[in-house]
Amino acid sequence: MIDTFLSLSNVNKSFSGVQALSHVDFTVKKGEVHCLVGENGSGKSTLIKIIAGIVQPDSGCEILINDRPFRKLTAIDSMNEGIQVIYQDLSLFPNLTIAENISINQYLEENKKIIKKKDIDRIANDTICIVGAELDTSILVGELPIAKQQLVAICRAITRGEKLIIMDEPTSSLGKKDIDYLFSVVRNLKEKGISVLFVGHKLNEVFEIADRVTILRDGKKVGTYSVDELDNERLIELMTGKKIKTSKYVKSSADTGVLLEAINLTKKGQFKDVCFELRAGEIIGLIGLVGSGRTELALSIFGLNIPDSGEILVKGERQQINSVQEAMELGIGYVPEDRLTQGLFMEHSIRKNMIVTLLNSLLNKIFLLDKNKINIVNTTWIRELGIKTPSPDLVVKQLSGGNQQRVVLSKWLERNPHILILDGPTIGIDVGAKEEIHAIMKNLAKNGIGIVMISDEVSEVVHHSHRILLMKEGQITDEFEAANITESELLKRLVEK
Amino acid sequence: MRKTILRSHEFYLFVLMVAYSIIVHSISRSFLTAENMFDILKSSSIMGVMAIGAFIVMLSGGIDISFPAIATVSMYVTVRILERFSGNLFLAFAMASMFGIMFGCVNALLVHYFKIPTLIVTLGTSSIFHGAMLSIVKIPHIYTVPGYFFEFSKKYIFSWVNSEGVTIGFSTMTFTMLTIAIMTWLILQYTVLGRGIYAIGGNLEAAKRAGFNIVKIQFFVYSYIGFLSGIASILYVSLVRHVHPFNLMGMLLDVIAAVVLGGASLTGGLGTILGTLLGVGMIYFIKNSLVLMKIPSYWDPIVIGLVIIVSTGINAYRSTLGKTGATIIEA
Repeated sequence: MIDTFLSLSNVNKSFSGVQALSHVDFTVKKGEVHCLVGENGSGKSTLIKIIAGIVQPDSGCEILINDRPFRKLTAIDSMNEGIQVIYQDLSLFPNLTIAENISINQYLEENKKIIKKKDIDRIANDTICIVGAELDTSILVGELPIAKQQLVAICRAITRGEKLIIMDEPTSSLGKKDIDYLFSVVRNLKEKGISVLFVGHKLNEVFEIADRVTILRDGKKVGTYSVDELDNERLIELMTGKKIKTSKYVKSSADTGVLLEAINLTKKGQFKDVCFELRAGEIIGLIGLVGSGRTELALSIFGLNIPDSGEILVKGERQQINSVQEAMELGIGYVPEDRLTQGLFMEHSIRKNMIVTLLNSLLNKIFLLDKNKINIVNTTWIRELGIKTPSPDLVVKQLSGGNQQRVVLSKWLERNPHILILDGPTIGIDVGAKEEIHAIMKNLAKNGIGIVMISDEVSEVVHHSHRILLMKEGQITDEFEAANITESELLKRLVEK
Repeated sequence: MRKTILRSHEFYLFVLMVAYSIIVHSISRSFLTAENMFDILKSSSIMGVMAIGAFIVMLSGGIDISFPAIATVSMYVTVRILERFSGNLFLAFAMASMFGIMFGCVNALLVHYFKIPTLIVTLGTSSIFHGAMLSIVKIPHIYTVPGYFFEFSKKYIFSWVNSEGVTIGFSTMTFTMLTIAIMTWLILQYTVLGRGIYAIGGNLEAAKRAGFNIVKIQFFVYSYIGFLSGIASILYVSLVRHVHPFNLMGMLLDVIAAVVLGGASLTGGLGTILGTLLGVGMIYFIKNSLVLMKIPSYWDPIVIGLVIIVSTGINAYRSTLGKTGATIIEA
C-alpha cells in the first residue's frame, strides 16, 4: 500500500524570463483533502496546470504518480492516471442534459460513435450516486442553479473512477449554504478514497475542509503543514510573508456630518432591516460572506435593486433612488465587484474608458466632444492615481489588475461623488497594488468623501476602515470600531453561526 | 415530460400554425384541403432540405450564407455535364452533392485555419463561387435539361384521385426531404458527432477541454450543408425544369428566416430539426395563404417579418422570465 498518490519534486517553471515556480516540492496523499493557498501570482495556477499536464515544467523536475515516474506528463497521461481538473468556469454544456454532460467525456475517451440513452443514464446515475447527490438526469444543465452545476462538474470528473480531483477556487461563486453542501460532497469523496486538491484563498474554508495545506508565495513553496499546526494568523503570515501589521487606520478630523443614512432597508430574500449611517471622511468596511446580501444592499443604494421598504437619507433628506442616474445625481458612485465585466470596456483605450460616464460634460459649443477637455481629464487622473501607462491610448486589457481598478475609480472620481461604494476594490489585485489602492481610498476620505468598502477579507477591513459592519444572512449583525477589534476576533465572528 | 412539451418552442409554433390555418381557411375555403396541403409539402421540400443544412451550421455556433451560391453552382455544373453525356438521376444527385461537399470543405478550411467569423467567410465565398460561375459562363441558363429530371418531381410515393379528378399524393420530393430530416435527426440525437455539434455551439471552450475534435466537427458541418445544397439544387431543377443563375440565390433570407422561426439560436447550441421543418412550413403557409386570399405577393416579406419578430419575441420574453425566476436567492 503506497500512501502517496502524487509527488512532484524540484518543479521549476519560467515564462519568458519570469520565474513562476522555483524548486517546488509537492505531494498529495491518497484520500486526503489538500489545500493549495497563496496570494494572486504566487504560482498556484501554474502548479495545477503542470499536474494536469497542460504546462510542461522546466527540466530537472521529477513527477511520480502512484510510484510511476513520468519524464514528461501530458494532458492525456494525467487524465489516464485519474487526475481531473474542475475549472472555475466549470466547462459544462448548458444546452445538453445532465446525463450527457456527465457521460460525454467517457464516450470521447473510449472513442465511441453511437450514443445509447440507457448507457449515458447509467453512467450518470452511477456517478451521482457516488457523489451522493440527487439530480434528475434529463434536465438541461443551463436550467440548473450554479451550485447544482458544480455537482454536475464533479460527477463528470469522477466518471472513470478518478483518483485526484483538482478544484480551482470552487467556492468563489457560491453562497454559504451551497459551500456547506459542496464540502459535504468533498468529504464524501474523501471517504471513497479520492484525493481532492482544493485551490483557494479563503482562509476560513481552508480550516474547515483541509487535512493538509501547502502555501506558495512568489513561486516558492513556503511549506506544507497539517491543518492542526496552523491558526489563522500564522497562515496569513506564511502567505504574505509579513508579520501582520498592527497599525490601524486612524480617522481624520474632517468629520462634518452624516452623508448617507439607511433606515430599515428590506428586500425580500436579500436583506432585512438594515440600518447604518455613513459620515463624511469615513471609510466603512462592510464585511460578509458571499450570499450575505452585501452586494445586493450596495446595489439598492445605487438604484439598481429597489428595496421593498425602508428609507435612504442622503445628507439628511429622504430620497427614493430608482435608477443609476438618480443615484449619480445625488453624488453616489459605485465601483462594481467584477470590474472586468461590469466596469470597463476591456477592448477600448484608457482614454475612452475614463470619459464614458461624463460624455455630456465634455461637449464643446457645437455639441461635439472637446479634445482638450478630454485630455485634461486623462492627464489629471493618470497623474493623481498614478496609473502606470505609456499613453492614455493603451487598451485597458493590457493593464495590470491594480491599474485597471484605478481606471474604474477615475471614472467615478471625475464626477465628484460624495459617497463612494467600492465592492471588493482589491479582488484579483496583487499585494503591492492593493496597498496603493488603499492609500488612494484614504486620501479620498481625507478630502471628505464617505466610502463604503465591501470586502470578504478580514485584514482589509480591519486595517483600512474606521468602522466595520458585519453582515450575515441579509442582516447587519454587529458593528465594531476598527480600532477595537483584532483580525482573529473578527474572523471568528464572521464564520460562527 | 408533458410539461416540457408544452413549454417547447416547437409546440408554440405548431399552435401558431394551426391558428393561422384556421383563420386563413375561414377566409379562403381552399386552404385547408388535402390538395393544397400536399402541394405545400411538395414545393416546400427544397427549402426544407436547405434549412436543415443551415440549421446544423447555426447549431454549431456559426452561420453559412453561401449555400444558395453552392446550390446554384453545383446545379449548373451538374446539369451542363449531364446534358452532354447520358446519365441518370442518381448520378445527378451524386454529382451535385459531391460538388456541394467540395465547396463546403473550402468554407470549413477558411473557418478553421484563418479563424475568420463564419458570416464573413461565407459572405466572401458566396460571392466568389457565384461570381466565378457568372464570369466564366456568360449566360448560365440551361433550358435543355434531360427528361429524367422532370420525371422525379412528378412521381408519388402514394396518390389518389379526388372527386374533381385531380391527382393528390405524397411526392417523392417530400419523401426525399423527410428522409434527410430523419437521417439528420438520428445523427444529431444518437451520435457523438451530433452531440458534439450541440456541444461546440453551447460552449466551445468546454468542448475543446472535453476532447471533442473541433476540426472534424466543423468539416462535417460545412460539408454537410454543401451536400444538402447539392441535393436541394437537383430537387429544384426537377421541379422548375430549367437552370437559372439567380432564382436559388433569392432563397437565402427565407431559409434563414425559417430556421430562426423554428427556434434555432444565432449564438448556437439551440434548436431542433422538428422546429426547423415547422419554421419552413410556416413560411410556406404564409406565402401560399396570401396567394389564396388574393393578396399581392409584395406582402409576403412583411407578413414573414412580422411572424418572425412576434414568435421569436415571445420566445425571448419567456426565457428572460425563466432566467429571473431562477436567480432568486433562496432565503
